[in-house]
Amino acid sequence: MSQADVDQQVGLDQFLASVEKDAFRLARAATGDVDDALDLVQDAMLTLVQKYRDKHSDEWMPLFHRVLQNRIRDWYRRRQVRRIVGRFGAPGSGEDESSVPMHANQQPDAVADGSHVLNQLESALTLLPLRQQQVFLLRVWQEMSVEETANAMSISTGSVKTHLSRSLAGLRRMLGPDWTAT
Amino acid sequence: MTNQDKHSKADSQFIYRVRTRLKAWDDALPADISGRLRASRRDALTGAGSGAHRRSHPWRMAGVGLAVTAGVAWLALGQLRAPHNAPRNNPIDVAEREVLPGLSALDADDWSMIARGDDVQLYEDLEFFLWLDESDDARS
Repeated sequence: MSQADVDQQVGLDQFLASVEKDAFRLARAATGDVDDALDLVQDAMLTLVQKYRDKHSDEWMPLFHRVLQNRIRDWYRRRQVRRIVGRFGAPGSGEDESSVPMHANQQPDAVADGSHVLNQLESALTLLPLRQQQVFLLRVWQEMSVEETANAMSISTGSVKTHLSRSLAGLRRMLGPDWTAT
Repeated sequence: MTNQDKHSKADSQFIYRVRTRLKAWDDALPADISGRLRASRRDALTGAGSGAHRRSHPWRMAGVGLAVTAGVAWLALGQLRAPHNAPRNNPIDVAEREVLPGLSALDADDWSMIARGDDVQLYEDLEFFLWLDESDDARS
């Protein structure tokens, strides 16, 4: 292994170490399941290493987030297919990740009862539709720009703004006046 | 101050509060999760990809097995039925030209869904709904 290969390996290791926890949080919020989230993160890591290791290190971050978002979306679609086929055995009503709450069986009251503020916020996030949730986390938590978020999620910048606006409205409604008081 | 300004200010304050809370995420992750993430990273870098944490999905293996068996049987049947000098537009040849390349692009999960008898049309519909939604987004 040449010195350049060693340097690249070290660089990749440092990069993945720097993003793995955030990636897990993003995937965990999307799936609501630790093991599924770890699977998605590992798939994203593998794809980055196998396909994009030779890209300039500045490109790793947007590429990694794009891969991760693709994995999350694939996971969501497959879950929807299984859920709809399992429940009705026939094509559904055209639900997609823009409009369906992630954990629709939960009730907003369960959010309001949360004692710890972070738990309360996490619970509210899980109630958002997938795209709203991921846009919110990328923009607000990861502090990505509109363009970076659009690139990561393969959607238009207009969609990012729309989803962010809806997610803000949804979260403010769910979290109540304590979070929105000025 | 206009209504839009008030909304914008309220959103900014709300975002600031939420962001502050979410920073707490950065602090602590359970040790076992951190360990599994490290193992995933190590696997990815060594190209192993087996994943210390990865759960086995028996249906995946069964689906892939069934799909491979079906594919081999289908190809064998095609060889038996097609004379060497058969016209290239017979159904078998057409299928080999136009269907097989698409089949080879399917991944393990896709195969397993087919093998399990899931409604493939529904999956295609979901793709269409996604495209439709993205088209709507692009127009808005």
